[in-house]
Amino acid sequence: MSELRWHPLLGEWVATATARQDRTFLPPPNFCPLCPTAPGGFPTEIPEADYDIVAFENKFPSLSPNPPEPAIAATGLYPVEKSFGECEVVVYTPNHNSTLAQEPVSQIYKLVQVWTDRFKELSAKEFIKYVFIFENKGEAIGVTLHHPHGQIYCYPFVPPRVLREIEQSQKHNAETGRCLLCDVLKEEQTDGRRIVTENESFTAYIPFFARYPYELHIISKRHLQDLTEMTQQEQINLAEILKQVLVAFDKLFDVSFPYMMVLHQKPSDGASYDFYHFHIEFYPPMRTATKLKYLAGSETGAGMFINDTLAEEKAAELRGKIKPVSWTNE
Amino acid sequence: MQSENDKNLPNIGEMKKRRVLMADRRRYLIYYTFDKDSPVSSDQTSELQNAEGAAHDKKESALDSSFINHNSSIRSKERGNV
Repeated sequence: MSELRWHPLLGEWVATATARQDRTFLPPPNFCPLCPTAPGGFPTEIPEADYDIVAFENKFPSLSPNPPEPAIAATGLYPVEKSFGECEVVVYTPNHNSTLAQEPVSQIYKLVQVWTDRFKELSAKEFIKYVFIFENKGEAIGVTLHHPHGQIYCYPFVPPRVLREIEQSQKHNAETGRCLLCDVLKEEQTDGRRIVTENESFTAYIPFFARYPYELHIISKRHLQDLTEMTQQEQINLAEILKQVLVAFDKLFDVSFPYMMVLHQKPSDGASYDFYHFHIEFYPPMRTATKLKYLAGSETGAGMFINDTLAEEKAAELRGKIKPVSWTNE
Repeated sequence: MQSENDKNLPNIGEMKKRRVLMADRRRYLIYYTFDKDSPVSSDQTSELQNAEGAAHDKKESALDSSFINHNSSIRSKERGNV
């Protein structure tokens, strides 16, 4: 069963997707559904091996273009809607044992182009109002499949977290005439202590207001609203800074670093968002080599994050792990 | 978008898409390959759709129309779009 249920206390939708309870959970490598099907082997989601990147509709979607009827009738207080939308899986490489950090920068550049193409195609669908590209990595995040992959959720509305950013951006623009994130970038560059790395087109920093110890944002220096506005040079620079940041994360504790990576772009509902600024956010749960930051009572029940660390110190740690990107040793 | 500076940009080849129906005959899958033997052209993709993939797209297009009326009730519930 799958449906959208209205949360009257928060004024937002909650999706139920009971089919996801039985989704594939940490299968052994020879039963990985995201690996290409081996000759005579277990049939996976991907029949062929000759590809760079694959995108396909999720077998256990939270939202779909042809959703079932809701399991429950709506009431005046509790509206219920069909869970229209799209859920895609983006498989980064045929190599089961890789991670995005371990892939050559050329593969990350290909991924940026695939993201751009998916965003463009999915944004054009009338029933999709927000295209959300993201990656959950690591069992600490709750990942159920190890094969390197990300996802794309397409919502029939602008989701709450993004809506709040948009509201804040519009408010700042109305008050100052300027872009909020352009001002954040300027503030971070002026201060300098929280910058992790930057290149011609992008800056990576741990924000002043970081809610996780190693929360990191990547922002375009040019005021862009989404991936489709990037030049080819900017696409390359984005791949390069992603490679640098991902490798630095892994070097922090010499482990494959778990994280949530999210792309915040403008909605695809046809409205104007000139005041909004495309950026990428990372939420890594590790706070030390052996400890995780959990979202407990204050974060989940009150919405107030407690960060046990200082952004300036964490940025210095990460800066020390940044290495130059090489296109030639691939 | 090509410029003089593009000559110095890394060449990963032209992006090609091939859209197929999956084994369950309900979902689509897109293979992305990058052909290094073709010149880089970020604005051009060659997309080969088999007949079943095209049929899947037509079905989705019909769903788009049916959702338009449905969507108005979803948006009226939200706490205020910008």
